Amino acid sequence: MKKIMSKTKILVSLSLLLVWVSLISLMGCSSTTASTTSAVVTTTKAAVTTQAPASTAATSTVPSATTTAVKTTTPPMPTTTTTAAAAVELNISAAASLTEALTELNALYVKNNSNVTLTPNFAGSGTLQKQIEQGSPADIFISAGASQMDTLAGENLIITSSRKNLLNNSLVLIVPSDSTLGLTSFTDLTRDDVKQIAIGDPASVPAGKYAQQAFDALGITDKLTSKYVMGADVKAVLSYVESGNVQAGLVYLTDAKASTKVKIVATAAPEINAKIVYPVAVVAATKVSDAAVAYENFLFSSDAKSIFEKWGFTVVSQ
Amino acid sequence: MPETYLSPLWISLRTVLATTVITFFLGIAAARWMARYRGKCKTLIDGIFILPLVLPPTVVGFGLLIFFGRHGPMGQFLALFDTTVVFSWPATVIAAVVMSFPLMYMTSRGAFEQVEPNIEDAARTLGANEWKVFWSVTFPLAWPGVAAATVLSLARSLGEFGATLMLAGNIPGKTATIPVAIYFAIQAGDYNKALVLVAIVLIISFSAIAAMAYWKGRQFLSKSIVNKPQNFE
Amino acid sequence: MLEVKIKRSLPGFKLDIDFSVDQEILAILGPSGSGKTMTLHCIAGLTQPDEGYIKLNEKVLYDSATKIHLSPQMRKVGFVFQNYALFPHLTVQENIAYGIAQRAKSEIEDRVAQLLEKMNVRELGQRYPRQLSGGQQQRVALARALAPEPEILLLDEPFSALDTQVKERLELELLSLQNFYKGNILLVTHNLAEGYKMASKIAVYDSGRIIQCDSKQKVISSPANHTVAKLTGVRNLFRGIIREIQGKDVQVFIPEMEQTVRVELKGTFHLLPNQNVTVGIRPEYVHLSENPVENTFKCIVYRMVDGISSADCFFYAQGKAGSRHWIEAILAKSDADRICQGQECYLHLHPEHWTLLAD
Repeated sequence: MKKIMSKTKILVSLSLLLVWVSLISLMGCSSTTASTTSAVVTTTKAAVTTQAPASTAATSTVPSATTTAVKTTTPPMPTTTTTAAAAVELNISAAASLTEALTELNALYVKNNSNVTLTPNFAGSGTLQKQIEQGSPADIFISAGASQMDTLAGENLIITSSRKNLLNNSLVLIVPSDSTLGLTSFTDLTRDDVKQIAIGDPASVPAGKYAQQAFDALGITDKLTSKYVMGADVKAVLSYVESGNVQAGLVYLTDAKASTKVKIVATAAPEINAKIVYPVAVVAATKVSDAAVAYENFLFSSDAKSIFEKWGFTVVSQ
Repeated sequence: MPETYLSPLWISLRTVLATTVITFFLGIAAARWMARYRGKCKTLIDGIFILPLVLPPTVVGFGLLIFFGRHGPMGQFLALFDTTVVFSWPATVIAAVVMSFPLMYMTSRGAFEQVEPNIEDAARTLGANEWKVFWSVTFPLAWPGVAAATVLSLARSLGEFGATLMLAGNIPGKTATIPVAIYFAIQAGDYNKALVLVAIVLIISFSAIAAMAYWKGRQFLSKSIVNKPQNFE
Repeated sequence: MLEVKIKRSLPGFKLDIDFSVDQEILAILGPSGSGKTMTLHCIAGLTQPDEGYIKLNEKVLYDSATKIHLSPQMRKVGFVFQNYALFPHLTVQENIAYGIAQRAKSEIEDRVAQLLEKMNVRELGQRYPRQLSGGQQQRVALARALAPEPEILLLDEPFSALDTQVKERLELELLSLQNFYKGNILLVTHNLAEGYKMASKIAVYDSGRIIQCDSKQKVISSPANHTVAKLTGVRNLFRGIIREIQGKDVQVFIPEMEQTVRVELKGTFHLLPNQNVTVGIRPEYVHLSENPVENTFKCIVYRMVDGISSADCFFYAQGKAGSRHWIEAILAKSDADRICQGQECYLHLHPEHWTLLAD
């Protein structure tokens, strides 16, 4: 018996020590400063810039003639071409709702800037903001809401001069494409036969916050709270509706358009939609700010604009 | 304010309790069956039982979602009764049962197999039918192992996240168990809430480990006495 | 009366046995893996044979023809396992009472007390098996098996785990058990001396078959074949040819030794001159002799192993074409002291002590 008692004592004290250590480290994480994040960032960035310039220098002379020849048929782009440019990798953190549009845009960009490798990271804007705060190697951040960008600006984690509003979106109510409920408006959601409504978690997903604001404006929030199924990002909400496991959901117009399994039954009031702004900014800790700025400028080009509009976004006029 | 902590705690407690009861009986039944089963499909059935332990929880969750979802076989069957399991509290129990069952099964089976067949045979020759053999001989001797298995699966179901999120979703007040609440709290930047919930989970988990250590110490009772007598003659 | 005639096949092993036991103790003797335990398991119903029948006191326990296979619970068979298999989580009293738990409480108490008394473990009722010595556990296992008054008692190597002193005491106790328990007893052992002491009948097993099943005296004096002979300790065997038969006396020519020996027959044999036989003699019956007389071999001492009260000595006789024929003798210490390694000597093998095996 004595042996078991001392074994348990050791076990208990070890576990208390573990609890204490984890609490301390978690506390430390919640109050990050720019210095600590940049320290982390430098170590991760070290791995990135290892491309050999020799190979690109050799190829740059030959295609320059041909690329310029090709370029005469398309409207001149404000971006720089690959003349004697080193290989660059750009990490782009973008809100989940931009997935389809950015994928197409990035393909176009890489075609015209062969020395650039683009690595997108799509997630909920709140998640992306957390990641940047924790020092993830992002060079560009495109958020689906202003508050996430504001928070980063307040922590000096973005280059303020590079912050611009890029896109507008609108919030829509969608149902599974085989739905027979015949919903036509936001207030229809209060009906008894609507049992579950998918929205993004308002605490971290901008689309969810807008949804809540839309409900608040209509005064129906209390009736709907018990029906919420919360997604970690807007794509999760979309897939909940597509699967038919919920009766309705609130996503962006662009998300609804990207899917074939849902139909749009209503749009949020213009006052709500006007707030849905997608700001873009260069992350302060970037090591390739020139390339990042160049990419950002590309996002405002007319080529980019047509792609964005194709997917249902409205481009903010500069 | 306290209800943001109480709600996940309450949901988790209910889920864990229901899960442990179900897994206890299912696991023991399966373990007893497989410990004595000599058929050809033994490895296959054993593999199926242990599969959720080996697969990533998201894979299991995905499988459950397809099975219980609106277009899945079980989902369509339940739709006949106008019920759905996806995004409801029973889904947390289902996900937790599937993920913790392998632990209960494996550990209990090990305990049953450690009981000497001779002892069970002796009970049979003394007139005990299979039920009596199980309850009066096998189970008491395997009890420390079964108790450890129960505690292990309890701890596992408490921490179940991936499959739960996929099948039950995040519905605060209904299906948001402690692990789900922790995840979304961190997403939202509410570290205080996350820490409190983490502390609760740690306390429960370490209690479970201490309980397991205690039961292991009592394991000696289950070993039969072979050539180990003290010479009192 | 127990009748057993069963067959059971496993990969690489085939059990095919036929024997009966009637109001006696039968010892099943054989090396490990010869099917002894399997036989007990089949009788108890723990294993099902492939075909055959088992009848106990006119009750059919198993019959492949009529598809009867009684479960162990229904067979009223008392089984003492090799490692006793006592229930570790029950007291001695609870162990003994396990098989009669459905009876009236007073009846259970009486029976348990009676058995505790009979097996000399009166004060141990409240103890747990792990607190008992090997001999005590044995007795409790016996008491537990006897409690429900079984129709037959099966003992699987009951003494193998005990040290000599305890074993000898328990052997005596088991013999006196017959005053108390009137059913048949089957005892499995790999030890000939033990089987001989305990039983009245011996069944010799080899690779799943019974090669001889007779009274113990007959097994010793007239082993059925080489294997039985070897198993029962007749370690000196010679091939021979019958030269002359005179009533109970037979002259056997042993070609290898180029000598004829006189053998006194025990039991009835149908022998003809020039018949090939095997003759054998136990090491205990090989004696040193001063000079060559009838039935004496000239040998050279090869090795002597000193025991406590006797010496195990190995000799060889030079045979034809330089071949050696080995003879083992167990000599008294006084005799062994008179010889040394490499010495030439004479070994006398008395006509009475030979065993004859018809080929």
